[in-house]
Amino acid sequence: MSEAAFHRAHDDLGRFRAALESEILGQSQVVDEVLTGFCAGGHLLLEGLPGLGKTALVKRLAASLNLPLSRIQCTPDLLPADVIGSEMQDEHQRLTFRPGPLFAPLVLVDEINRATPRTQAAFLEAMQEDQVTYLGHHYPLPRPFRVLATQNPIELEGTFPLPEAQLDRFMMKIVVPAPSADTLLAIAGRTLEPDAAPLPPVLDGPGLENALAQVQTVIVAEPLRRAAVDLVVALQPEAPAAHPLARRHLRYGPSPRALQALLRCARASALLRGRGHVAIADLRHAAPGVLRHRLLLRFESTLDGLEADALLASVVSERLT
Amino acid sequence: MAGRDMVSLIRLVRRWLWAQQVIRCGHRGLWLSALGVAVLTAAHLYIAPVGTVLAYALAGPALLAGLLSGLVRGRPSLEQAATVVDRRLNADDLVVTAWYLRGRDEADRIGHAALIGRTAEALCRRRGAELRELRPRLPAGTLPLAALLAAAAVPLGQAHPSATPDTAGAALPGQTAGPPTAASTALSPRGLAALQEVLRATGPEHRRGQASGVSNVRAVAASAPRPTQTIDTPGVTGAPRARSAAANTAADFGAASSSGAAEGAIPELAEVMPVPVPRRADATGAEAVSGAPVARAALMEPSPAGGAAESAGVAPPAATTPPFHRPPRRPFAVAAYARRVSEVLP
Repeated sequence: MSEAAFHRAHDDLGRFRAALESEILGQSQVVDEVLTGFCAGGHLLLEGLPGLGKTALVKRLAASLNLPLSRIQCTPDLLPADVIGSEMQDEHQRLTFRPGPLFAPLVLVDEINRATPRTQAAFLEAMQEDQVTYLGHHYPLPRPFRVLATQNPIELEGTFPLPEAQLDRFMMKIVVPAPSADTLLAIAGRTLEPDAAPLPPVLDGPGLENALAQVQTVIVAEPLRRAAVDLVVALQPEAPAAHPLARRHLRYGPSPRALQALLRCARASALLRGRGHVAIADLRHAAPGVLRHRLLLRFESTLDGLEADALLASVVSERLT
Repeated sequence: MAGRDMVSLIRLVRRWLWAQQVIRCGHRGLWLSALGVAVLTAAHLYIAPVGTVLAYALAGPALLAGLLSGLVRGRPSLEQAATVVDRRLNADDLVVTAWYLRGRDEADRIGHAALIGRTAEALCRRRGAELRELRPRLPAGTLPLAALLAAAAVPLGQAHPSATPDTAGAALPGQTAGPPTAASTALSPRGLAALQEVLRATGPEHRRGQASGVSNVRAVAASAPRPTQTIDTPGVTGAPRARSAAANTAADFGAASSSGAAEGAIPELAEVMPVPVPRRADATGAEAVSGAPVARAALMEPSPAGGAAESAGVAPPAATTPPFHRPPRRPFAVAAYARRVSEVLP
């Protein structure tokens, strides 16, 4: 791996970011987190109110990378076979496996919490193993395989909150905030303009491969690894070195998978900033998205109005200095 | 500082950090010392005479323990020093990563690892001078506190009677059959020597508390170059006479002072034998209640009606002697003294 390849990856990702930010106005933080999670090789859960541009962001992501995007609109009557595929008779009257919409490099799972737990479980193996098993046969999924799911935090009737096991499969949970007034003004101006021509892809296949490979070369020094471990341990309420807030308010803390995700996202964050090594700022940047959905608050703390983000911010600011 | 390579800079910073750690722990020890001295001195003054020397004897070990704890904690690691360099230079953990990569395989395998090393070296050479503020320095308030402790230690250690060794047991083997009195535990060697002289002159009969012994005391007192305040009363016993002799001794040593002995011109005696507000003797010069008649009478105002002092033919106190002893400022110590006197009295 040469220095030139590293710099090329950084430049490519810079253009990628600019393309996304030009499409999704006023959400640079969200774009940054999406890019970080995507480059780190994880699946992303986007949470926000309807109309904030979640789906548009995912579509633009796919278009920028020139990757096929498969969309699954989740409803309560969606079945696992509708997701992973099923066997059907072909013209020779033989049963053959017809892949479902899950067989795509980029899968947009819209309103994932509207699917039943049975259907949600169909995503588990695919997200973890990058393969689908049907009637004893394993079918590998195309690379890179990324699930980008969205969910609405307010309409809870007829929804099935994701179980902890499935939440843990998502590398990051990205909260999409409401845009500011200035952003809304910019959106209004763009709406009134004539439709622009679709933007060309900014990253081709080899460029994406190079970028994803360069993420693996980012160096994480021993003290930074220890800092990540300290943060994860501090959020485990049963651990001796747990943070007092975690001990008081948390039922469960992040898993070892969270530590892995934190380090990978820190690497991607470092590459996006043009650094060949992880800094404490990268851990700080990646921690909220990686850890917020892996914290299970106590019931009393939830009733008191405490949110995982607030607790996380306190612990991160104290432990990652 | 400037122009140093990364390794020597990190080693230098580590030395500084260690020195600063020792200083910080020593500073805590110093505060602990000051706190201990303050508490023990306050206890000595207001609760029980534990001795200020003890307080200052504890101050040294507390400071030493602080310094030792700084040493025992060990030197910061080179990684920690590199992290500190990063934080100071806002280097985004570049130095600590370069330090981590030294001699590792990753440095050869990853292309930009060499770049990290070069950048860190260049950063340390260019901006190493900015680390000057990491040099060890004393925390604010250390020197004034140390000076205050030292300044307070010398006069308190020398002046306070509890600083003297307890030689009363050896000086008065026959006199103090019971528990040591306040006088015997706190008299200075000079006072004790004078007291011994008086007791030797009085002979063994004073132990019986007879008038002849008392008159011997009076004789010795009369032989003193200055008038004494000793007022003889009947029914005296050994211990009160010891107090009386101490008062005489105080009068002897009172030459250095323009005021009388009972006023506290000899701080040793006035300190260890504080007497509550005295009561006047009745017409016969005797105390109305039991207690230490001689001792208290020695501090009384001369009776205008011709009290015991005049009837015994003892010279009246000097004109400069105030009529009453200075009111005690230490009620607990006075109570302790009264309790000890009552233990000695038959």
